[in-house]
Amino acid sequence: MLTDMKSGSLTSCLERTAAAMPGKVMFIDEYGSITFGDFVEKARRLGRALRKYIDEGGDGVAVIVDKSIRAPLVYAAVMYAGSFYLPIDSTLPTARKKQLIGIASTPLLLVAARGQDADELGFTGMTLAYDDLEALASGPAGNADDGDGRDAASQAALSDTGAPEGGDPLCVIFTSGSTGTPKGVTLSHSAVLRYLEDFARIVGLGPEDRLAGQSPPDYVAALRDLYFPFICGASTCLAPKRLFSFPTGLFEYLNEHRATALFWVAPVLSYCAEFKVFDAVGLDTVNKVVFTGSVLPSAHLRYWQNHLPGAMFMNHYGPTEATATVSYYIVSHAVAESEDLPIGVPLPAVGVELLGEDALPVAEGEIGEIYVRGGGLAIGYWRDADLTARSFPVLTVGGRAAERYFRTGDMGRLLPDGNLAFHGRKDLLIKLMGHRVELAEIERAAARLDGVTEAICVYDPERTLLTLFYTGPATDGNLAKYLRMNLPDFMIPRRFHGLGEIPRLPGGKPDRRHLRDLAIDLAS
Amino acid sequence: MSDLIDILERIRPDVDFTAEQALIDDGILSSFDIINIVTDINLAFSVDISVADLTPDNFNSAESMMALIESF
Repeated sequence: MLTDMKSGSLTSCLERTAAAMPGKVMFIDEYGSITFGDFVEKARRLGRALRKYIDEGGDGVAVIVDKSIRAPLVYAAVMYAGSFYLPIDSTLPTARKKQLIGIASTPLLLVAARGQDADELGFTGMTLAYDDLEALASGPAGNADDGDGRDAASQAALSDTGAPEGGDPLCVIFTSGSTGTPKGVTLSHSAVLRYLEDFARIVGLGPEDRLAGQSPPDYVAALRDLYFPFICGASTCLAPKRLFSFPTGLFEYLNEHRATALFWVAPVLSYCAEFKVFDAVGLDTVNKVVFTGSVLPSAHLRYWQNHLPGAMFMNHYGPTEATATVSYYIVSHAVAESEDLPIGVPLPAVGVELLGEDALPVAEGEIGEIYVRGGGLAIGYWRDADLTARSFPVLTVGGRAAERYFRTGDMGRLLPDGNLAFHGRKDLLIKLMGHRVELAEIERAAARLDGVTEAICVYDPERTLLTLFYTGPATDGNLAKYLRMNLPDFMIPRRFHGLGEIPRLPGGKPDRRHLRDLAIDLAS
Repeated sequence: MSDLIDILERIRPDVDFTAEQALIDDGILSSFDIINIVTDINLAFSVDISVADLTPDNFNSAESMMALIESF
């Protein structure tokens, strides 16, 4: 570890790491690569150019990004400019991007993604294109302080802009919302730093490691791929999304780039296992595999263990509101075919309580809702104080002083060996490709189409099959097309069924259990 | 062929599988779609599509998928 625990912000971490290894490659994407020294120098210059567009109101900067070096560059530039970013993936449907831009409601939109037409976003505030920012940054103003060498430039940049401090917001990550619209989660520098420093130490990550980033650039998991280089000098390959459709090509990419560490959502590892990709291509350099986002079936983990006997495997659990950090479980044995893997023990900065409906601790060994406290908690929901207060209550639990908690909505149980076991959700939230998805959001989107009277979405985790039942004159085809224009692809149902009416429980609520069984029948 | 089209349309009712020739190259099908398609094809046609068959060329059109199925 190059960094100590006193580090205050991601930029101060970046400065230290870049000073120690300026010539080392930091990021690789499909267009090229960049060294630590060039990265920090460019991020500072972009940040200084950006600064005059940042208002003092603490509104943040919405950023349209693609999965390339530009993503971490503009994120760091926003930090150097004394602000925080609200990232939006350029590959989302236009209507979705507009919706997220609306929720962000920042005065400034930075369009960093290649090929993104700024006009189609209909943004009414100030829009800044990446190329224009770059031109400003390489002009005389951008270069003014660079003459005296890097350290002087860095000091100037930081004292000019007010370097971010630990408690300051770093970014706002959008996730699915139970009310039917997405919500933003505001994360702090200190929570992200503490998490990544602790996690790098636990995983044993250092400058010799090379990550192969799977996450989209606007998802919470991207924090690991993008900021482990800042923290510990590892390098990250931003693997193009299309590689993940064809696992042999993906494995060849990992070998070609000598990837050592994979922080991937479990479904991608499952996909590789189901197609027995090791039959076609082996992995030469991978020695750490961390899976997140949902449960990895033990048969699939076993497959990976058999083919990478020397590698470390780890199950990792943490919702966005806890900065992706809660617990981890190092798999130190060959798993049995039908074993349930625990989500493990809390990270050092995190405390976990299992509480009942009455917000009191459940009896030992009983199932309760997972409440999280400590240094990993998000600042709150973006521009939603009510939801923040409800989801992050201040509680006095088991004789402890009053503290802020996040109610995860996940159910858990403490095992006799001290590990936490996962016991599903208490509501309609599901995990698809590692993303949290509220079924209500899909249902609301479907019901907005003319010709749909009511829509109910059900999920079969066994087949990872999302089915939408609807009433009204719409057809499967136009409903699928409409959803595809409005939702990210992992949220699109794979089966559509028009019904004469939605079956209901005596109280009038849709009978979801009945529909779930019907969906399973129809699929088989 | 119509059995295959039925399978494909059930997974992606919004795509015209009789016309599209660049389902992968144009990014129309996601990795999600491909795993669903392969699972359903294996079941319906009693074939065993393996990782070696998982290439963009084999999935760019309904015809190329049919040719793959018939190769078993």
